[in-house]
This record gives sequence, structure tokens and C-alpha cells, in this order.
Amino acid sequence: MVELKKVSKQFSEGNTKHIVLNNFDLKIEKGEIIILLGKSGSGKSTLLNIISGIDIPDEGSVTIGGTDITKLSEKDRTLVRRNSIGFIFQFFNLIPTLTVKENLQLPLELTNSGNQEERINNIFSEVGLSDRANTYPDKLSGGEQQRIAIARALIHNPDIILADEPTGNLDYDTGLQIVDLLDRVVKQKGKTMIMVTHSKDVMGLADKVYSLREGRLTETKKDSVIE
Amino acid sequence: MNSLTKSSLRYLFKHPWQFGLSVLGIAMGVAIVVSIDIANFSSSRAFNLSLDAVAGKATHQIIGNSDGIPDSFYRSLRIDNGIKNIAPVIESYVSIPDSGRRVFKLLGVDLFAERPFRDYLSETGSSIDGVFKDLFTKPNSIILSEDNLKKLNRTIGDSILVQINGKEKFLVISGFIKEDENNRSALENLFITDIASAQQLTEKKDHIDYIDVIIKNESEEKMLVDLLPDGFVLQQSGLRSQTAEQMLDAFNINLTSLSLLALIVGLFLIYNTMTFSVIQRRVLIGTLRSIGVTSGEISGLILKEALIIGILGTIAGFAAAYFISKFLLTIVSQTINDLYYVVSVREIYISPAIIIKGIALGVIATLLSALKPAKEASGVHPRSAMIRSEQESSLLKKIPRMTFAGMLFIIAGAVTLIIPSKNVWLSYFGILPVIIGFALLTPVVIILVEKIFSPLYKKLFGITGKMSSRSILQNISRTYISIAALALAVAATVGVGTMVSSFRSTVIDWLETRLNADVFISAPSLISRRNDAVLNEDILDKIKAIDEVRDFNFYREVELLQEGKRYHLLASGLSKRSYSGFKFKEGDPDEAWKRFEDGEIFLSEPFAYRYDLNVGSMLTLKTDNGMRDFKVAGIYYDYASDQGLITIQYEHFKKFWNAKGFSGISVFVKDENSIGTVKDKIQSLETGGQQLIVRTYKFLRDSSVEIFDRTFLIAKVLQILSVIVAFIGILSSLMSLQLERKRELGILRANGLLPSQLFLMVNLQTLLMGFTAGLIALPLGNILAAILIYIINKRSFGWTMQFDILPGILAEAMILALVAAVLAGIYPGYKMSRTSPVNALREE
Repeated sequence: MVELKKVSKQFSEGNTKHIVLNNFDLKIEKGEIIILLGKSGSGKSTLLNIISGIDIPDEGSVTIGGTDITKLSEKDRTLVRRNSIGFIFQFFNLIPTLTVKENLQLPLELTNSGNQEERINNIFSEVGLSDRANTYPDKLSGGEQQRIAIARALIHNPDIILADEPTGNLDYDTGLQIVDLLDRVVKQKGKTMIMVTHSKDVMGLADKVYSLREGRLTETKKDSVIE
Repeated sequence: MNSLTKSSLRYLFKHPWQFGLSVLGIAMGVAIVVSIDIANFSSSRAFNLSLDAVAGKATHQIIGNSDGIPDSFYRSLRIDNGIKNIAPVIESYVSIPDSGRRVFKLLGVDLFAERPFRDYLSETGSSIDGVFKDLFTKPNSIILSEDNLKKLNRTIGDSILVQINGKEKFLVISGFIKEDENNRSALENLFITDIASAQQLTEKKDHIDYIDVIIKNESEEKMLVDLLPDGFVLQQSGLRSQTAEQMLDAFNINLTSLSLLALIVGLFLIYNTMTFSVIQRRVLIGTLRSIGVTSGEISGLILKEALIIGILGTIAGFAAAYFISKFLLTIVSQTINDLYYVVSVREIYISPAIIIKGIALGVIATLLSALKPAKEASGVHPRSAMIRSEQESSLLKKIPRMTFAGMLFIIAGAVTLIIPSKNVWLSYFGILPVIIGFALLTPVVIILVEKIFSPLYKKLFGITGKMSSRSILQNISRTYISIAALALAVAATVGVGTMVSSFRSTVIDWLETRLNADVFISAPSLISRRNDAVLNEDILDKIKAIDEVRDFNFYREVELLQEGKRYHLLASGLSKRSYSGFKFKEGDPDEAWKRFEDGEIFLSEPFAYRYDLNVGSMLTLKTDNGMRDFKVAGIYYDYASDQGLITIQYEHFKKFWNAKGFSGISVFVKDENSIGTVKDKIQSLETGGQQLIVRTYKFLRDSSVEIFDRTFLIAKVLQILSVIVAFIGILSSLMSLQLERKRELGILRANGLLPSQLFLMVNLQTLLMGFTAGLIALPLGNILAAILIYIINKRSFGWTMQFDILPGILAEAMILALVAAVLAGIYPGYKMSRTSPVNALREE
């Protein structure tokens, strides 16, 4: 499903070069849920950017559904992202000028999906909040905003979900509700998900946990993290 | 409507101030350009309509000598040579003192010869109310349109007191013509009289002005040309309006370009707003990009917004232009009457070209100015966009490159400007890179100002002061655009203001040197800058006979129409004591005067520039005896006419031209104390009804300066309008800037900052922004003034002007920048100080 081969990425800061990803391989099967751990600045977000095609590696290949996206133009990479990837952010990033319902409609319009009303109703039945359909995001609580953000990431039925600390900006209880939601709508539906998080509560969802340190990826035992 | 468009539209409506002010900025820019175009077009159309009304169906005109065409020549053409399609014409202007000095064209025609020429005169029966008989039999009878009859509140048989060539005369209304769609514009400002009455009224004894001709083929033309005596020409009738339009070319170009300056400020505003809206929405754009919206779709979105602003601004601009143009038309037509020719404009005309230009400027230029922000938006990195500090640090990193690029732009502008060319548009084109160059230097100036003022602000206003100055730098990606926009507008006022003041002091110096006589006499003229009326020659003898008169000058001005050009020839009978009033640009003065006395000519600087002539060049002039070559003895500085003048000594003039009378006389008195006595004696001379305008040196100097000021009134109006556009810009961007800092200011409030401290902080910041804009505007303004003086005016009119850096204008400009910035800061400051910190913190 997602395969990274010999991926390297470095950034320059003045004369100093900072290696973020250092020649590593990663293979994620369809339906697998991967969690990435790492200190701040360890390159977790860079890795998500590379998988989503927002950024390209200096070396190596990134294959999604059989296509090496590093060989694609910026526009084609965007189209891959549009059709095959759903993004969940730490700060929700809903479109403030669109209502809740319109925020959900946006990915459907971008992908020219049919049955938009039906799909919106279905996703509302999964995440709740159908009574807030015509509300603007700034009137929602943080937890509600993240539920809508998850719905937006899923509504156009992408194969891959990328989540960047989805509970990082929420209180403990709300974070748990979001984990529960991700379990229902992502894991149980067999979606592939790559998630950056520090929350131990999310570990239960993971098939594999990786740590990113000094540009290298090492698999970590889930239990050891939870303990 | 798709969700992306919905989101974009809602963004516009959620920021009504920003959106409204952008629309207003474009509307003002479009309104100014369109209204100037309408004013120019309406005045030239009014003039052409009056020419067409007179020319009728004539294909050609026979133009005679400087004193017209003798009756006898017309008769010989008609009777001896049997040419039927010809008609004699006398044209003059009359003003009606008791009708607000309204001016009408007096058209003297021979009604028997009229039928093929002017429809409104050839229609008989009901259209002309049985008045032909009276026109022939009663002297000074006229017919006019029914509408004019009503407007003048007269009936048939009434008389009208008019002034014609400086003499008061009575006209008798013998009938009217009913207007219809075909003749309405032709009759608008027209009095028609019989040719014999016209001769009597204009005192053109046995002479007519020209002969209208309808020529069907080349052989007719050739036959007619063969019959013309020396000095007579056959010219196409359209040539007169063409030469009139040529006169206004430079005037119109300069007005248009001044109006474009307002639009450039308006476009800067759009660039400013769109860039601002992109910066404000970086996170949003980043999110959209992350969820799969392509960069093309993002830039399309920004361009769509610009299109909406452009369309709304253009529509509003056209509506405003309708009203502004009515006001500008008064000023423009006043200037044309002062400087060029008599024109009476009552209606507003708009052409498809004006509409197309307005739309192109409003919509297309708005789109063009949004291209860069759209490109920036499409280049927003989906993830780093979400980190604000990164935006500022990326601009700070770009500053060395921006500064370098700014300098390159300024050099490119300078190179464009020094390309030797007479093309005025090229000069204006050269200004643009200079302006862009200064805009690119703005960030580096902000850094310097911040470095100097941060410690000072801290000392004066404590930590609030420090935060005010620091936040300009912290938000440099936004603040620099606002500062650059304000700097440009203020620089425009410095540039135009310095140019006008420099020009004014050049003209005053010149007037003081040139007007070296004590009393000046002329006939009342409808054109302020030129004496189109003529004094009888015997008046000079009567003036000479006054005891207190020591010496005198006189001159006769004639207009030479030759080869599609209109030359003004000044025949001077100059006393030697007036020689010192001439300052020569080229030619040794002693040598030049000697050759002048021998029959060579002088050229004014604009004339020599326009026709590329130098001392020693030959100029061919149409004399009453045919074409003659004259050698140029000197080129002198002169600011009386942008068309330029040719000067010849009077006694040599009389060898080649028959024109009688004098256009003006000036007198030196024996004793300065007797100026008043001489003035009174001249005014009480028996002149046979000829009105005299007798002015002292001081009065003439002051009234000339008054005309100058009136001429530049429009520049001042445009300057003010540009500042208004810029003020809208600065208000819009400062407001956005402050409102965007809501959260930051909310945090400060939460930490105990009082609303008054917050208000002070916002205003201290805008004050410093105004100061920075002023600092940039002063050198830029003076550079613009130098370009206007040394390049644009030179290329437009050929004038050499002195360049005065005026401390008053610089101080005014700095105050303007500060006041504009502070005014623009008051509302956001007030609003922010009233906002609850809870809301400010929550809304993020």
C-alpha cells in the first residue's frame, strides 16, 4: 500500500546541514495502523509530508498504491493526496468560512464524488453532530471540531489517513473520545493510517509503533510504550 | 456554487471593511481616470461639434491671408468662374455680459449660397419661422435655436447686448430654428447672421474669413487651386479640428497620466489587499493544499476574488465618474479657454473607447495586480504555512535580495528615462520601475527606523512603546506593504507639488523679467493667454501723444495654418529697452538682436523643441505672398504658450503679411508716479466703441499667475484624489493588520494592559509607520518631481524649468503621512481597546 525505499531528507540551516531522514525503508500494508513516535524536531511531520506528497525526499522512492509519487509533478502529487489521502491535524484546521456540512462537502466536490447528501448523512451518523451541520467551526468545541475534521478526512473514502497528533490539542476525556472514534471509523473499516502522536491512549489502535531518532526509524514494541 | 468559491466569497464578506475599502480604492482609481477621459473627450467633442456645425457638408475650405479673403475674390469665383458649390463664411465669438458671459459662436453666411452646405439653414417652411427677409434687411439680425431662445429668456424681436472683439454691440433676434435630433448639437452654441451683418459686427470690411467648398473630384480641386492667388490655400475641412486636437495632445496626455497615477495607487491598493488576504489566509490555504486542492485552484480562487473586487470597483467607479467628470469638465474647459481656444461645453459625452479603457483598467489591471499575490498563494507550502513565525522569518531572509532588486529596478527606470526620445509615454513608463524599486527598499528602511526608534520609543513610552515599534518589524510581511502604499501616495503629492511650485516660480521669474513695461493695453479676449481681439492702429498714435509716455512696445499676433500645422506668429514692435526681457537659450544676444532687426526670426523654446529647430535653421512660413523661408536668429525662454511662438520684427512682418491692428500695446512712463495718470488717460481715449483693457505691470503679473494657478488646479484636484485613494489603502491595510492582531492584543489585555494603553500602542505603531512612509516619500517625491520637470515636461512642452526643493512641501508631505497613518489607526485602535480579551483569545 505505502512503501518508502531508501528515503533521505536533509535541511540546511546556514552552513549546517541537518539530516532529518536517513536512508530508511518502510512498508505499510493495506489496513495497517502505524504510529510514529519521536522527539520534537525528529522528523515525524517531515515523514508525513513526504508520504502525502507535500514534500519530496532528497533520495529514495515513495510508492502509494503502486505509483512512485516522487516521480510525479507537484500537481499530480496533489491529485494523489486529494483522492487517496485524508489528513487529520492537531489544530483541526477546519475552513472557518464554511459551515460544518460544507466542510464535509468540500472533499466530495474536489473528488467529484456522487451521492454527496447521502455520504454526508452517513458520516454524521458515525461522528455525530448532525444537529450542528449549519454551524460555523468557531462555534464548536475543540473535540467537536476534531470529530468533524476526522469526518472530513474520511468522507471521500481515501485509502490512507495521515494524522498529526490528533489528540494533542484536546483534554484527556475528549482525547479518549477521539481515539474511540478513530477506532470505529478507521481501524474497523480497514483503512491504512499513519499517525504521529505522543498519547499512550492511542497505542491500542496501532499495529506497529515506530520511533524516529536521528533520521532512522526503529520499530518499538507497543507494550513497552504503553508501560 | 462550489464550496471553495463559497468559502472565498464568505471570506470577502466576513471582512467587509477590507473588501469595501478595496472596492472603493479601485472605484476611485477608475472614477478619476474615466472622469478625466470624459472631461477631455467632452471638451474636444464640443469643439468638434461646433466646427462640424459650421463646416456642414463642406469638403474643403479656401483659406486666405492674415486679414482674410476679399469679397471680390469670392464674387469672381462665383460669377466670373461659375463655381456654384461655394459659400462665404465669417466666424467669430460673442459673449453675453448679462448671461454669465456665456459664449456663442457667431456664424455669418450667405443664405443664397447655403443650400448645399448646412442642412439646418437650407430647410425652409415651418423650420425657419419666416425670418429670412429680416436677416437680409435688418442689420445685426440673428437667428438661433428655439432652445437657446428660451434659455436666454428672449422672444423674437428682442435685442441682445453682446461683446464682440472688445466692443459692445446689439443683436436683434429675427427668428429661431426648431431643433431636432439631427441639428441639436450643431445649434447648441450658435448665432447665425447674414454675411453682411457679420462683416459689420466683426469690422471685417469687404472681407470674409474663408470660403466653404464642396469638391466632387480631383479635376475640380485642381481647377480651383489654379485660381487661387499667392498666399491662399485650399485645405480639407477636417484639418481644422485635427490641428485643434494636436494643440491639446500634450495637455491631454499629462492629464491622463496624472489620472493614471491615482490608478497606480489604486492598483497598489489591490496588490496590497490581495497580498494581505493571502497572508491572512496562509493557514487556511495550507489546509486546503493539504487536503488536495491544487496550487492552480488556489491561485484561481484569489484571481476570482480580485475579479469580483475589480468588477464591483469598476461599476462603482463609472457611477462616480459621472459626477466627478461634471466637476472636472468645468476645470478642463476653463483651462482650454484660458490657453488654447474658445469652447463651451455643456454636455457630457462618453465614447465606447472610454468605457473599454475604464473596464480594462478596473478589471484587467486589478487582475494583473492580483497575479503576484495569487502566485504567492499557490506557492504556499501546505504545512509550513501553519507556522506564522516562518512567514516573517522568510521575508526577513528575503530583504537583502529585495533591496538589491529594488536598486536594480531604480537603475532600470533611470535607464528608461534617459533614453533620448520625445515620447512622453516612455517617460511615464520609466517612472514605474522607480516606484517599484522604492517599494522594494521599504523593508530595509523599516529595519533602520526600528533600530533607531525602538530605544527612543521605549524611553518615551515604556514597554508599550517598545512593543509598538517592535511589532512593525515582527509583522513586516504586512506592514511593509502598507508603508510602501502610503509612501507612494505621499511621494506623488511631493512630486506634483514640487513640480507645480518649481514651474510657478520659473514662470514668475520669467514674467518679472519679460513684463518690463509699466502699462499694458489690449482688447477684451475670450482666450486668456492669447489676445485674439485686435486694437485699431490709430490707438497707438493716441497713446504716443500722451505726455507722460516715454516709450512703448506693440505686437500683432496672427495664426498661420499651414500644412496641417497651426503656428502662432508674433510681430513685435519692441522698444530697445525691452530687449533685456528676452533670455536666450541659444544664440549670442547681441548678434541675435542684430539679425532680428535684419528680418530673421526668434523662436520660443517650446516651438524650437517641437519642430527640432536651432539657431541658423530655416523655417518656411505661409505669408500673404506665398511660402517664404526665414532664418532663426535666436531661441528664447518663453512660458506664454506650450504650442510655441515665432517672433518677427513688426516692420519685417508688414512686408509679408497684411494683417492690420495690434493685439497689444505696452507703455513705459516717464515717471513711475504717473502710472495711474497714464492708465486713466488711456482709458478715457476716444476709441470708437473699442473697449480697452488697461493693466498695470503688477495687475498683469498677478492675473497671469492667477491663470497659471487655474491651469494647475486640475493637477491639485487629481493630487488630492490620489491621496484619498492612498488613504483608503492605508486605512484598509492598517485595519486588517490591527484586527488580525486581535489575539496578540487580547493576550496583552489579559495580562493587565488598559484599553487606553492598547489604544496608545496601536496609534504609536501607526504613527511610526506613517513616519517611515514619509521618510521614503521625501526622496521618492523629489525624484518624481525631477522626472516631471526635467523629462516629462521637457518632452511634453519643451520647457526648461528650475527645480526648487521646497522645505514647505516636504514638511507638508511628512505631516500628511503622519496624519493619514494616525487617522487610519484611530478606528482599529478604538475597536481593539473595546474588544473583550475573552473574545479576542477565543476567536483564534
